[in-house]
Amino acid sequence: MEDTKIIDLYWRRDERAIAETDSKYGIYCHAVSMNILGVREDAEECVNDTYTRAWNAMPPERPGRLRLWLARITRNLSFNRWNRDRAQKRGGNMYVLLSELDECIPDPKGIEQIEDAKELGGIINAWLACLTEKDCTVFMRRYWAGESVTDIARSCGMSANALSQKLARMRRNLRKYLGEEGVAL
Amino acid sequence: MNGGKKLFIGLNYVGDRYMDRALDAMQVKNHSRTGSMRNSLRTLLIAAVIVSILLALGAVAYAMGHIWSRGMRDRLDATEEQQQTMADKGMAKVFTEDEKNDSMAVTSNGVTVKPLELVADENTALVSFAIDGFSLKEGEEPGFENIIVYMGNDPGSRALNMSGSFSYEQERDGNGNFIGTPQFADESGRLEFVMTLSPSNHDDTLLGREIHVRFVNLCADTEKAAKTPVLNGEWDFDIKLPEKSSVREIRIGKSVEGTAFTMESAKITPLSIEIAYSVSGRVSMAGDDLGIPMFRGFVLKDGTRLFNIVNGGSSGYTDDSMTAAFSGSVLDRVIDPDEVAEIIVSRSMDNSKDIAGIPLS
Repeated sequence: MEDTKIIDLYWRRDERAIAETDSKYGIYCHAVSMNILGVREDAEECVNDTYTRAWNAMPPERPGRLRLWLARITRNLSFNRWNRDRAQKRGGNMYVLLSELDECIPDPKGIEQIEDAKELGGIINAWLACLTEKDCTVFMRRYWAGESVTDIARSCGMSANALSQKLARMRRNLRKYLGEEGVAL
Repeated sequence: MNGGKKLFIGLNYVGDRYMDRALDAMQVKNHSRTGSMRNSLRTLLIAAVIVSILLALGAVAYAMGHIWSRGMRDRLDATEEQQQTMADKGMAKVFTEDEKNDSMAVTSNGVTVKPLELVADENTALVSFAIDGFSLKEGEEPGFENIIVYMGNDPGSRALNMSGSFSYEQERDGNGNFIGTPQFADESGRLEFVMTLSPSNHDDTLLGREIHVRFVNLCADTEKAAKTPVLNGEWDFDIKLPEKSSVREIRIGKSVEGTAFTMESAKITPLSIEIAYSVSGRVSMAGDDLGIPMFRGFVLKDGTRLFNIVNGGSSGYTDDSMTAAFSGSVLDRVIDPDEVAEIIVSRSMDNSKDIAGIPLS
């Protein structure tokens, strides 16, 4: 079903909206949530919460890109849950992922000065524009969608080692970019 | 790890195309259980979500007695929370499916018409009606041959302005353009008609007034211009409008730069706005353009910009001296008057982009 028709179902308060959303995009939401949380039941709950958020948001919203809109919600919900529960859990994909992103910060004190996530997104956006499409996609799969290095490497026809090294180079590149931009992160 | 977290969150605000590409390339596995458990679990989960949503809706519906009809929802954007707030404030009345509502139903020649909801403030009233028992063929558009609406005892009085239409649904293509034929009846064959009322004299109020509505003869035609009665009938209603006002009155006293107008004050309700201007200097008028700055939207305290949110209104000078003017507008959505930080007006009818924002503080 086309996105506009699915959105119309939400606007008409037709509960088929949820089923259609799950049928078309549930698999992406599940994947993003599982990448962050690593526990199937927790991921299912976050996806369900995503559908509830969608139901409450439409109307009045009419997302232009429904898949992306849903994935963002799932990502935020999953990260918040991971952040809340991390005291009970150590290690895992998110710990490694966030540690890798820590390497990109030129000045740990400075990042406190950027309050607005949107502002930071704009800065990273400019850096992404300098990458090849393939490198950009790999970076986003790892650090936005939270995919494992193994899964990304397999789909790219690379070894996990080779991809790890590539990602490390990209992180150094981002760190340098943020430093050169004088970003007081 | 704080820096890493900030970057992780910040990645949500990069360009959409980067995230789209990542989603396209992702290895999306089916994370559900395998075998026969997979489909039944997914079905159960979807059902659980739907049930929890419907229970929440039911709670709202129970509190209100009703969720706004599709016609009212089409006409006026409002979240369920806003619908409830308006009911709590006494600005919305729902004619529930009970004896009282049935007693308001009028049947003539086999067709039953009854009011569904009423949403009103001092300047604007929206009333939705259900029409049951009138069948339409494919491609036909319903209409009433005549609608008489008045206050007081004189049906010929012109104290009220009225506009109204039947609700419909229509398919859209990928670009959002309408395609196919509009569908007026719902699955049960019910039609819905929503009317918008406002006092002809902008100094008048609708609060606590009783309005009289008479629908005369139903039409069905495939040509919009031709209204041929196909079913004779009369349906009369006396409807008491709410007495409570939820208006925010603000003294402003700021000039609209580039014009001869000063925005002296504004009255904002969840449904409408009325702006009072003083005029000093020469006003350029041409044809229908009275030169009065027209309301276009709001900027809210959180920075949200609501533009082109008008669904009808009127403007004019209060007298022949043309030293004072008003501009009244009906909104296409419910807003919280307390959240308004700025009023946006257009300086010129010819140039809709020539706008000015007037802060309220």
